[in-house]
Amino acid sequence: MLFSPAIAQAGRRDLRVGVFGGDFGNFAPVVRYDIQGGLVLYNIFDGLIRIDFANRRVIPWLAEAWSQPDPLTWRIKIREGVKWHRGYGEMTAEDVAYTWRYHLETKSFQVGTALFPIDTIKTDGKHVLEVKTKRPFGPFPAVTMGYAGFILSEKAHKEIGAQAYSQKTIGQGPFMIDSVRGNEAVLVKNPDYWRPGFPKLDRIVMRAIPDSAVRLQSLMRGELDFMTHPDPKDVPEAKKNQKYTTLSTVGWNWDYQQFNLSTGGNEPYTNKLVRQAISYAIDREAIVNEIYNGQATITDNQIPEGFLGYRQPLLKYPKNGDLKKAQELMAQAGVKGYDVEVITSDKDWLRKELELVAAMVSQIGINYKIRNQDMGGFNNLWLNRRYQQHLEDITLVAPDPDATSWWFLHSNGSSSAYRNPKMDALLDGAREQIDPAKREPMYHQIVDMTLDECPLIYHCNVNFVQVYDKRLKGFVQTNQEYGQFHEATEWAS
Amino acid sequence: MADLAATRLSDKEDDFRPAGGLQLAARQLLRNPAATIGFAVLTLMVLAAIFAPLISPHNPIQIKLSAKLQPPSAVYWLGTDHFGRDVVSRLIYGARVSLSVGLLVILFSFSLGVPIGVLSGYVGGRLDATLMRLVDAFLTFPPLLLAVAIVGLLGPDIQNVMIALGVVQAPVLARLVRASTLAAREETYVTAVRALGASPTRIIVGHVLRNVLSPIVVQLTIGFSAAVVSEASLSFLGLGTQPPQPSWGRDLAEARRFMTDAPWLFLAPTLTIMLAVLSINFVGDGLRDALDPRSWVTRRRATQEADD
Amino acid sequence: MNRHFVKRLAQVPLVMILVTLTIFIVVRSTPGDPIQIMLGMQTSPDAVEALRKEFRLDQPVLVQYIYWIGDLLRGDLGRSIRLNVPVSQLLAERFPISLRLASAAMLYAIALSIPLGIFAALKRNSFIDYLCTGFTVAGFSIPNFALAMILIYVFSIQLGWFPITGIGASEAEGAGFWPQISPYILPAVALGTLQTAVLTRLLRSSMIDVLSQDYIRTARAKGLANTTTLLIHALKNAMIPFVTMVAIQFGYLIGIQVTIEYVFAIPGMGSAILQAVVTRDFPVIQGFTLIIATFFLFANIVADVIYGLLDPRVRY
Repeated sequence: MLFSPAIAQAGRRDLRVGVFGGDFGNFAPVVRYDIQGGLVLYNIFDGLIRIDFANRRVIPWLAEAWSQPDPLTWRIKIREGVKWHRGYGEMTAEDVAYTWRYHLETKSFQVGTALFPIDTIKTDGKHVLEVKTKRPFGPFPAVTMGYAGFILSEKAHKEIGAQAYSQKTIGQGPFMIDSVRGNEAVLVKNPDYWRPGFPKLDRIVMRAIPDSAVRLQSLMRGELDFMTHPDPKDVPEAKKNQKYTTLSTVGWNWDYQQFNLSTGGNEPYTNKLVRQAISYAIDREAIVNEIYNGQATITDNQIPEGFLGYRQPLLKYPKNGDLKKAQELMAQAGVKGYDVEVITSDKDWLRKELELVAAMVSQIGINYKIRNQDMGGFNNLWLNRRYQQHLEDITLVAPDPDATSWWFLHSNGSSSAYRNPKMDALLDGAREQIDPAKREPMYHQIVDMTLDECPLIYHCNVNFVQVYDKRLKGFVQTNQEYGQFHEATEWAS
Repeated sequence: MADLAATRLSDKEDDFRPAGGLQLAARQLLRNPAATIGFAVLTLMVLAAIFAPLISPHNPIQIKLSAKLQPPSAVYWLGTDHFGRDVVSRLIYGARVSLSVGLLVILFSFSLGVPIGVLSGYVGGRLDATLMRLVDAFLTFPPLLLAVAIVGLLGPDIQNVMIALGVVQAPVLARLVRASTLAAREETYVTAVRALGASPTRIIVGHVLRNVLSPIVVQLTIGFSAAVVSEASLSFLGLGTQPPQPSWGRDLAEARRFMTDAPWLFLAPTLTIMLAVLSINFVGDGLRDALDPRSWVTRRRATQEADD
Repeated sequence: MNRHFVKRLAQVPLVMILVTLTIFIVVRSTPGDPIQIMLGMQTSPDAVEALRKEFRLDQPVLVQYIYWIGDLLRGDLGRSIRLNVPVSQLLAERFPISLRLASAAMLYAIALSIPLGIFAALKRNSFIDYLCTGFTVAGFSIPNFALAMILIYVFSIQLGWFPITGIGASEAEGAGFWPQISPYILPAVALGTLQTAVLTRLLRSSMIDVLSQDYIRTARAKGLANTTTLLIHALKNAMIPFVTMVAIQFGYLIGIQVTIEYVFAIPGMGSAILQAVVTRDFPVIQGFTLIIATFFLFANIVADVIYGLLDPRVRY
């Protein structure tokens, strides 16, 4: 009499996916969606470009080719024969122009992250787009991979309306939204997908399950076939289980501490020696081991592996820290010890990480007074720069060093709390340089300066981990937290 | 959240009588074995909280990664947590947070709820109607959600948790006190004192308040245990006590991740919370019986009945 | 009876006004801007301002309140800022789930508390009485999320009897009786144990009260009536507060599911409110809290009415 989900599902090829979070949020192109929402979007949209993760290259995807007749002009050729979901016709350059103009008109945050250099957009025939930028813009092709790369169908967007589109999204990717309700999103195969033979899965049922232990237990009980974000402490156990594949992928993100240096106050940490002392007091290896159980990579700078300008994980600060050096720096700064309020957002791992970090810095006399905030409270304090110090994690929107540096270090960067004209000049220069060979040393310079100034202290890049039924083959995890089910080659219940 | 539930229980029986002297009450209380045990356990917990630095075997917040997740042993009586901290020491220090949350919450709700209730019940009329509708309005909110909103508003901090829980409990107390005040007001002797020209303040403090003592005390014990459990729930949702400060609720919330590989970590705070709540309830029940002469009659009857 | 009922109903509008006002004040004084949270950090201030205007967040708070009340009177609960769907649609998705879970928890509480309460009252100081007391105090004292974790560990992981998640899942639809009800069992027990404790304690004490009434004691002492008749009579009287309490607790159950919903991944009202609090989705917090408060208010009125109808002694 006992219910076995496996029996109920016999004969169907549903893949039941348990993801992190409470629901799937909003798929409107202008909002900054949640991780769960991103997981849906990455499967219903194909990007203009793709990243060859192994070879760290941008590869053409729906944008088949691009060229630069002059430093300010980009000509982009859109792939022919790509069909919109549910009979909304073929994707054209006109759709791309419509989408980008829509972003520019609504001043959405895609403008802030990717489209801001655009001056004019026009089409040349059905499949060619010509974009002129205001100034030369080095990161251009790569940044369109992020949110701005999800192109709207002009016809569908106008017919369905901007409001309803946020739940009934029409894409051109391998899967279509069937329904979104409560904590569940159902995706079905797109029969008109442009790549012949793909996708192999018929239906994906995604369910948001907030507790990581419950997610794993549901998987082990057969209520799910796939889960994201296991508690790192459970990963070794899951790896041993022969029924499941455990995939751990390096993430394009960091856990970091940030100091608010924009207030003009005279807190002890406004002295860069104190900030360096803190960075020396951090045992990054202990963070990776204790908080992430080894599922993370130590780093002390903002450029993760795979990005232009990457050199090696640790450039200045030793993996276990250097307490003696830290104490020396404190003495040199003439600071005895002080209290400081440190905020973090409400994520299990960050709470613990901050607790551990607080214990580390207490060794040099600094007392972190921890204040966990919910997401709303945290963003409010962070974006309005009403904090002293914080510890957070962040996933990078685009695989370009500009995205990992500019927003956090430039005086005008929305998440920056640091003011330094020299840094601003370096960042602007690197952004306007198009030749990667010339850009690379510029970013080395930026990183070196960051390591010396320590407006941010980087701890590690955290892996994205999935555990799933062995019968699923060919699943590809991106370095941006979003799994792609369209590459799956095999699945049977 | 036992508060509301239990209030309703006592709401229906609001005919409490004057207490028959403190001595008698104390003797009655001690005659009740459950209350005695509860009282003893609570006293021990309070003493542990006060003398935590003296009796706790280890430092409760000192991280010692080499000793993490150890099962109970001679060195660590109840094992260690994921940062190698001694569970016993954390429970002892946690008593400080959890018990003071309970205590301050009832103090807060007492100083907010009792004046409103007494005023409303004693003055009556339009003031009563308005205050009680406000109380009704507050009572319609789910306490935990209201607390979540208030903590969200004030920022997650142990003081704010206390304020939130106090605000949540105050209307319950106000309503209860009002009902008892109304009943006491109609008592013959109060009417008599009033007829003799005693001032309202004197009547309220000297007579009415003394006579609503029993339901207030009972409600406060219930509020105390509700606060301890609510603090745990808020910590579970990430809005309670801030690390590294140990609290039973936070330790329980953290320990849920280790339920299979370190069950002691989960059981220790769970059982401690249960023990505390249970003891408070026993004391509360004992106090109610001790302070309420009517229940002596019932008990005597019941004893007789058991005998025949 | 009638007059009291009318009086009670007449108070409802005033209470509701105070409820809406309280909700509004608490929600709107929370720091954090829903638009900024939703649009993200790189959004231009103009875009944020435009959306603020759309949701009338640029107006003075009092004006916003009046708009909200005006919308409410027209049956419009507003639109979720984060999800961009009408609050009424979210409510239609989530209220039935919360209602079903509350009903399941209540059924469990009733089914367990009636036999426990009666036997404990009849056989005082017996094993079953102690069992009842033990269950009651445990039910009162254990945080429900801790109980939920224990239930999952024992009944799902070790014994494998019940699923952990699955409430609100589309795969269960049309999948037969057991797949549909089995996901409710553990959450209902975790949620309803406190109510079971409350009801058992109440039934036990009111049974003892009735049984110790003079006339019953006399009748029993004289051996005049048979025990069954007496028992039925006693039960009838003891059921009055019991049924009243069931109504009150049912109103209460809708609003206390948040931790249980978190553990069992239930798309109910509590998790929607929690999510909305975190992202400052004002229309959802306001709408959902209002519905829960209204539900509670009416459950209490129903309780009053039941009490008045059943208890012959109550003359308003």
